[in-house]
Amino acid sequence: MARAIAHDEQGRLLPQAGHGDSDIHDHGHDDHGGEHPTSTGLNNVKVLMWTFIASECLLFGSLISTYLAVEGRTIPNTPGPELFDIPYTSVSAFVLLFSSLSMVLALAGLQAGDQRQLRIWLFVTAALGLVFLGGQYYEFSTFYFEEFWLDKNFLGSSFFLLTGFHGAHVTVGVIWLLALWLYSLRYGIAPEKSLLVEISGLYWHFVDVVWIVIFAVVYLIPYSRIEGGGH
Amino acid sequence: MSRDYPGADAEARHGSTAHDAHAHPTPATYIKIAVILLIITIAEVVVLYIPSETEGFGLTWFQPVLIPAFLILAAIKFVIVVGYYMHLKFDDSFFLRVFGFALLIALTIATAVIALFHGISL
Repeated sequence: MARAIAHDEQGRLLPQAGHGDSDIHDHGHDDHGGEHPTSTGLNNVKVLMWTFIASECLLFGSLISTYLAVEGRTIPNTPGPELFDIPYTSVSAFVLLFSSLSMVLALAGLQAGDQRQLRIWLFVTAALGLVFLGGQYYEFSTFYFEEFWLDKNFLGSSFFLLTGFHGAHVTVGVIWLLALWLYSLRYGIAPEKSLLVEISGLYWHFVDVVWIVIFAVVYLIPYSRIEGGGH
Repeated sequence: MSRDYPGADAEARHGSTAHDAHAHPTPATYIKIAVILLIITIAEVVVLYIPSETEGFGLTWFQPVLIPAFLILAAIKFVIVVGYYMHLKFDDSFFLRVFGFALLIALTIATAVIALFHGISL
């Protein structure tokens, strides 16, 4: 199979992987992340990822809309946003934001040819994702014992559906990142294959921006109404 | 600049259709962005507690602007992460159009649902 020729950002030729660098595995096929001429002039994998992210916008848009539709219309005297622990959720939100930083640092490390930076930051990102999931498990457990759950009212159903779906996305992201991390430990990832990390990064950052919206719309706004004495 | 087809931006920048690579910010820039995001997140929480903690100090006027404040702060964080961490600011504008179109539909649906269920009419 013909090898793709790797270029840097200015279009200059890059050294090929696997020649004199035992840290980087060469599979001997097109390992340039699929960067060969395409009808659009853009990398097909990247186009696919952005299209997937666009479809995810619609999924989360619908889930958030559902929550907003029932928010403030729940059964009286049933648990709701008054149970939210905003300082605790703020820390979770920042954990996820910081994981986005570690993700871009992993990509920057790889693009600079620094395998150590790549492995450290990939692992940190996955670990922060696990911290976030642990926090969400604790939060869900607390709500459950406070009688706020999926079957208590419409608000509970929409809240757990939305945050549960987000948690499922974080779980997929963590598995993906850990797989990449293990791959980088075993084989190394050549700089010209940085698309592997960039694509996973796009997914991870999207999960982060969804949480930015959820934090404001689902947590802060309903809680502020309670703090402010209703509507 | 004429951009009649996807990838025209990348081609114009790199002189080749095979490269949608782009100049990414440096790690130092990424860290500065994280600090900004941290400050905004702290601001969101502080803003939440201002009205309830300062009723005796005449700051209850802040309550009505809370929701717009949260939405604006979240929008700023959203744009920063999408623009810099997802590199949409530096990538080909085709990706921005794909994402922006989906976002527009999602926002339209959300607005329509809120208006419908909360009795807001034009």
